[in-house]
Amino acid sequence: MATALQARNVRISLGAQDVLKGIDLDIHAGRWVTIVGPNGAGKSTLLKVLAGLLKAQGEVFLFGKSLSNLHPRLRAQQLSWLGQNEIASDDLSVWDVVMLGRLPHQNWLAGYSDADIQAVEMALKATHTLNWREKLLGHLSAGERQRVLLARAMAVEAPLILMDEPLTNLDPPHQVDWLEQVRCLTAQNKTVISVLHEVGMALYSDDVVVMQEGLVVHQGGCSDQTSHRAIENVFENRIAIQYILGRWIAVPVLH
Amino acid sequence: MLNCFTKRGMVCALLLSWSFACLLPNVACAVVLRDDRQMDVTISNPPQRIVSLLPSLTETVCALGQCSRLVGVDRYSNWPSSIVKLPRMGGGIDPNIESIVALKPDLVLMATSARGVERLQSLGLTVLTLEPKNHADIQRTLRVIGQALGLSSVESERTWQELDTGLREVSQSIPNYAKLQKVYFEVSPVPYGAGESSFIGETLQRLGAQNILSASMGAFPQVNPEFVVRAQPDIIMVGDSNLSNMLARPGWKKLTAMQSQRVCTFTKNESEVLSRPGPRMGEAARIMAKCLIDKSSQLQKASP
Amino acid sequence: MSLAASRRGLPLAITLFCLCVLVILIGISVGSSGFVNFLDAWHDDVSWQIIWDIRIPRTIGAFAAGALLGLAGALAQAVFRNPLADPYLLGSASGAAFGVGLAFVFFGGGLIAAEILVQIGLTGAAFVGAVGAVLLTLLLARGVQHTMRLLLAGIIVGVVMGAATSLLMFIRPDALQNMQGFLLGSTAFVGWSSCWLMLGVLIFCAGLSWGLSFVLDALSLGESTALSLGVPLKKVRTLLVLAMALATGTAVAHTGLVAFIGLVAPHIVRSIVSVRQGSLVLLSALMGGLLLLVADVLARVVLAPEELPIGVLTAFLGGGYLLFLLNRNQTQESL
Repeated sequence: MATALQARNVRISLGAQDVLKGIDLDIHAGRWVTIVGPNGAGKSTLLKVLAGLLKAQGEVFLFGKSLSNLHPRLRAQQLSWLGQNEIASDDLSVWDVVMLGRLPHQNWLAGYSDADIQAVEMALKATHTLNWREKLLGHLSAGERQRVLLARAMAVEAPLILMDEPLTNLDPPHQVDWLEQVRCLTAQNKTVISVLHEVGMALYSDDVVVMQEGLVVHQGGCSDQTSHRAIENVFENRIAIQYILGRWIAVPVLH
Repeated sequence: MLNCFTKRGMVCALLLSWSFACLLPNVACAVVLRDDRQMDVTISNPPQRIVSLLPSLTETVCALGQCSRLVGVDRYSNWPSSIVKLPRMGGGIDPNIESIVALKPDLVLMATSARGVERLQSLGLTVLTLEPKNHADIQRTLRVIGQALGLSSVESERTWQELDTGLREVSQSIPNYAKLQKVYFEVSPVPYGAGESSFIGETLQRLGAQNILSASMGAFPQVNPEFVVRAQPDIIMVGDSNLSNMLARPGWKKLTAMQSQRVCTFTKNESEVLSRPGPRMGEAARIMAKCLIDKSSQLQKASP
Repeated sequence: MSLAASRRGLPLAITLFCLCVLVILIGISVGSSGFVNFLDAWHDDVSWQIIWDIRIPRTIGAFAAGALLGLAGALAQAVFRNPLADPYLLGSASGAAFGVGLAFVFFGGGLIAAEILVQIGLTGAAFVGAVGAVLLTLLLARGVQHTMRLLLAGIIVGVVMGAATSLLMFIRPDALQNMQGFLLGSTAFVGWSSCWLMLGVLIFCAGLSWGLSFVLDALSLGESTALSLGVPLKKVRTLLVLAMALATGTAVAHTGLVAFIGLVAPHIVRSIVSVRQGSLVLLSALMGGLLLLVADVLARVVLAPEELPIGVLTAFLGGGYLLFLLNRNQTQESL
């Protein structure tokens, strides 16, 4: 199986603190991987380093090429990012926002092509936001806005998508929609890496990376018992992973 | 050969006759003057429509007897009374370009530090900038303006001599007991005082007074109130609107000059005469001399 | 850009342009000489000179200066992602005042510096001061990457330059009045050459901003998103900050320090239409030009034949508008 993303001995300190203390990762193409761990484990920081948004020690390889040597535009074409809590301007229309996702493919001053229009429409359809194309971002609710931002990330049509807490503000039906969209993406052999704090949703992914205090303590399939034990461990056994109704779910443990 | 010689001879003759002509008074010749910007200004004909944007320059033009040639002044020019009816062109700092151009002046007199000098020049007006600051400047300004107006240098020299003689007479009228007094002249309530090298300071010097602010402090230094208390001036000169401000300063009520009532206050008109380095310097000297004599006569009565 | 988006901005652009032309015509007709009829002026040399050489360049100059400030304000708010940013943030105002102060202090001093300054003139001194201050800010902040550091450096430069200017005024107190005149703002000294210069800089900066506006749009989605899209964020931010300095410096050099135009113009545009950054920058320029035009005409008419400094009028108008916005926000309970 081809390797989409590789990390070797990634370290980073933010201020005086060591946030990542030596990360080694292998992520295979066409898989959906979720990074889980307690607060402060360094999940978002790791995702940002993998996206090339933070400079760290060690190496990150994107489809075999070193990330630091990659031209930003080439990287942007192969890697799409959906950030957390980013304040977006209210003045843009939904169409404009999603079209911005096509920037890595557009030439300066050339305007947009048919391929761009197609990609934007597909992304809008996939997120059920096509009807809002002329609406302004500021007129949408938080959840609706999140779906539009997801469409923006999808419009890039990059083989790798990284998403930091993509379920923020989404109500359950739309969380399910998101799950289906990710399944669609992996079916097209795209790779998805997400950071989720909802362990229950994380268990739907193909692989899981368990982090604690700046280190990866476990990497494995989501159906593996070892992964489940590792997850329960990092959360101090305050959750238990059970097989219920044909699915693995995480239940809180009350004493 | 003969042709060349004749040609040169003709040119020579022309030049000679031209220069002789220029020696005659009131003949229209192109005059090139150097103003306070160190720039050469060419005036082809004696100007008949003059705009002045500085009170001391207005007064100088009138002192040379050419008041009738003024068509516009700045808002602060107010002497002599004949110019009061003239249209106002704004201030020296913010002259009204449009009004000035509308008057079609052939000469504009303004301060060197005024804004709009380049603008007026770019509109085709002849601008002469002068900013007299001391006695030597007044003499030079009289000469330059005299030349600009097409008057002979004799005229401007005579005017200066009158001023100088007047100043000398005032100085001689001061009795000995009134001389060598230490004077503090306050110009504005920050406080700024008039030092030895200022126009006011020069006049005081010629009147035989001593200035507590020496030349090394600059023309109008910002004074530390404590310095004045330590210097203990014999006489204080100040505008009447600033007096109450003075009394509020710490330690000043106890100044000997204050306690013995040796403070001269000047009305607004008197302050204007005193602060303009122009042809009214004689009158300025008289005002200051009166102050010196008045406040010293108390001293004479007091001492045996 | 989608058709609808360009359609949103176009009616406003046309309206603003027509209003500008109208106010320019009014501005040419009024002044201290009173109302001058065009047809009459054709025959009278002096009236014609007044209209052609004085009123037209200063009126168009008012538009150009206002447009430069509006453009710079839109750029500042986009680059700093802060609706309260204005073009004087990076110290350009204090730098211009310091340059002008130096010029006043050395005028007639007979020093070599004085001759250079006479050549450059007051305008040049103000421009060099403004751009110099922004460069100093960029140096202190070591680039444009960290907006917080850039803002802090701008404040520092502003305060230090202000103190230096006060020191200059202390050394030469008779220059204080001149300085005040400059600070309060006026179009009275704008001639044709100044006018062409400002229009030229306006076209250049507008073109540059329009071309780079896609980066500002990406930036409006958030800094990490913009980076992830592969846009050359650092280079473009530096270019736009320099464009901002150029535009502000040019405007301030010719018309003095005019308050609020840069802050208020983008706000008013945004309250009428929602457009992408490229259109926002151009519309802010038009709006800024219109605002300063109105202020200039009012300044000449209200106390005729005396002229009010335009800085006073823009402060009143701008402050009034912001007060109105504040009230409106409070009643709507939104922000």
